[in-house]
Amino acid sequence: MLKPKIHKISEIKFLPQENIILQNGIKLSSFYNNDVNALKIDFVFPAGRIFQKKAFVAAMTNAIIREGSNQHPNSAEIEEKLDYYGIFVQQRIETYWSIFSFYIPLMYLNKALPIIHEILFDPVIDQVSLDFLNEKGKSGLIKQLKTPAFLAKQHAMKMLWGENHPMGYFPKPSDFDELSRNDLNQFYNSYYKNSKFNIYVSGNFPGVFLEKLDKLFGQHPVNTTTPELSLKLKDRHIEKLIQKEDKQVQTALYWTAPCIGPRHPDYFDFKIMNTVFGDYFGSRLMSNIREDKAYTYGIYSSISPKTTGTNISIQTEVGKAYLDDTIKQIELEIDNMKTQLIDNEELELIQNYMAGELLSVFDGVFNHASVLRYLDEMNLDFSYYKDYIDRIQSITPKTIRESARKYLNTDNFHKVCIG
Amino acid sequence: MLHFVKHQLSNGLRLIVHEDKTTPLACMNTIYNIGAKFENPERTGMAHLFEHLMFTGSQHAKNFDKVLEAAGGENNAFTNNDITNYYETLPAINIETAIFLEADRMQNLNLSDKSIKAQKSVVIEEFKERYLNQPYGDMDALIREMSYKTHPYRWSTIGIAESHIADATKAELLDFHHRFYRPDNAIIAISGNVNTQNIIDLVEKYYGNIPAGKLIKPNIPKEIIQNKQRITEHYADVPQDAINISMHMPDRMHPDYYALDLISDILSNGKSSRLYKNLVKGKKIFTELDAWIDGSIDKGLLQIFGHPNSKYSLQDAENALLESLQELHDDPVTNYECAKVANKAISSWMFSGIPITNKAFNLAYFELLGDIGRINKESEFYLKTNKEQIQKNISERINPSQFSILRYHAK
Repeated sequence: MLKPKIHKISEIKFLPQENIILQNGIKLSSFYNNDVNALKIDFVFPAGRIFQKKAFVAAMTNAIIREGSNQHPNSAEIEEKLDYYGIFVQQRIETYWSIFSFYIPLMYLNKALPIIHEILFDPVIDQVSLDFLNEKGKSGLIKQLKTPAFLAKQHAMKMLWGENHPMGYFPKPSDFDELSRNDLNQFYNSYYKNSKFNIYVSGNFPGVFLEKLDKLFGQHPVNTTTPELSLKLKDRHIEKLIQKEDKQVQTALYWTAPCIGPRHPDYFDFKIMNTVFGDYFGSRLMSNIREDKAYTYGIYSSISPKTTGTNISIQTEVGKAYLDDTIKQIELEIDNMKTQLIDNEELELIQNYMAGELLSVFDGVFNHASVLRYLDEMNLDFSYYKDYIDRIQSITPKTIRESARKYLNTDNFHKVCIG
Repeated sequence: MLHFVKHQLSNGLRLIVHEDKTTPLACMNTIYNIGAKFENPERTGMAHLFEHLMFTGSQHAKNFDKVLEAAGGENNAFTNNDITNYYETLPAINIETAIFLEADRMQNLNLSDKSIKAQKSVVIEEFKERYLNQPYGDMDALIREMSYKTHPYRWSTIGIAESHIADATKAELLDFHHRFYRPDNAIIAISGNVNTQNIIDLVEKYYGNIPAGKLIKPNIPKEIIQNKQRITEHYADVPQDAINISMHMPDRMHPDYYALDLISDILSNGKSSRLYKNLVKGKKIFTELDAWIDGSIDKGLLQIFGHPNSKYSLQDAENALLESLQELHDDPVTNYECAKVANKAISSWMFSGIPITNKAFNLAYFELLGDIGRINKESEFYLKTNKEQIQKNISERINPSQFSILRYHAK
């Protein structure tokens, strides 16, 4: 039996995108595909964690918006309608964005719009809901604080960003007691109410639908300036923390370091190098530490791009007895990346793997909207992905080694081990 | 309406193809009709361990993942109590590589001493990471142990003990592969930007000469009927108390299955559900409360799980929950409630059916259930479940004498 011939991917086809600007300057981007009888609308506010001055304000504001409106102070009435029409709502915050995604069956589209408008632009921020959400948040956090992997990550983030930075702050349960209605009101007014949010529509929708959106969401005044961010990753001295927990049967390891971001000319090379090193199932780290040594269920090195600074993190959970050798093996694999050239077989593998992964990012109309949101955050456009795939197909073993020499250094990592 | 073509090879292998020209990708999903319920009680965890061993290379592809990754693909697998499932997603032009890989590991799997040793160790680390090192990680095992006395659903897929995994011999594992990894015990579904005839030809080419097995279906004992409440008190080093109430369900193909699914939705799907409105948002006795059905093929469980608000004792919270369950009897389900949960179930089914990976899995799964046509009738089944049928199931199945209650105390 012969291995089938492998075909190379050299281009990605994007679905056509239509952009319109609403009367108040809000940008609406849409991707149309009538194969599904449904659509997704994402409302994306610059109201993520990075903007908060007090712990959990961003998350709690995002959550409380769904807990009742001036028209329907009891959120149950709104929830009844959402459920009856089979509308799913996902709400979450990221570093930069606060995102509300509405998944709507096409047949209930007209019913959905006024409800969405009411939820997002007429919320009532009351004490009862705040107490309720605080209790939930607190109980979730208490649970997380018992998990070695969570603790390790939080310690590492504190080292990376500094504890006064919203991303580096080490959360404690009592933070929830400090939150007031006023904090949330202020945050809502600054980052939602008149902020410059974006709308992404994807899926199946009638032609007149975008006009309807303009009528509903294009009317209220919008502050067209983007909120300023003065927060950046600082050059900090490298820190180390080892915390032993006798009860744990495994140790959580988390290393993190600042690195170059998507707008840097060397970024694609760095991203490809890191994939070889630790960002897919067949990576050097996985092959050695999981497949060969069987110390762990998984070990990854991943890059997290953010507008305020990008970082690279190596993370795993290993059996306690294997910790020392795991660290030795990570250092050895970093060293190999810097001293040896990858062979043609591995090069071809990584090229095809990454090209295939890129294709899957564009699988389906809903995913297009998510990709565009990322590009908007990074101030990039779809040509980024054209350049990316070109770079994947043209990279050489020398460039990969060069990138490791320049950007992958054991000494740059803050290192945490817990458990 | 999902269009598909079904084809069966002479060795018994079943193939389903769905063409979707809107994606550049294709997905191959393979179900083996071997889950933890087919295991020997002295050697539990074998189906799951074997899922790991299927990635250790075959005669013509020494490294499964590398060959697939070189074709731009990604894959994953899972084992549950009923099945072991494998899938590959890759650029549609490279679908042949997935077919080649799956066929080769069905026919020519390499089982070396080294790979067996390594995968046993990985699985034991997984056991520790997910089941011992996680707060509440042992809950599934405790619930199964309490709810099932005879049916093999009484153990989790990871197995009863680490020693079952550690002690498995090479001969046992070879025998396992030979018995269960046969064409007549597998169902393949391929969806994506493919040509149906081309797929049929490729599957014939790679699988056609693999001999059928002589599968003797293990005799699975039926679960005894529960008519007395069971309670387990468990103490562990966790941050908060928790409670779980489980009760038995009809099997997956039983007409009442949908009624039970909708009952779990009436209880806790969405913020307008009864338990959420009453105990979470209303009286604030619970900070978290969920009800769901496990969807297993044989008689499964409807479960309700919650964390009480720290102001309430576990006992008070349990009483409040039992009271809310009693309200299902005293305050019958309305037509409106019924329509609401059916609408939501249909919408949920529609959204979950959009990704090609889910389409491929669903096609293979409904074929395994014995009626692939049902894939296009799910909505109908939900719509025709009326309030009388729901109320009948409440009175027959949602009763304290049928509950298994796990009180999970924070030490």
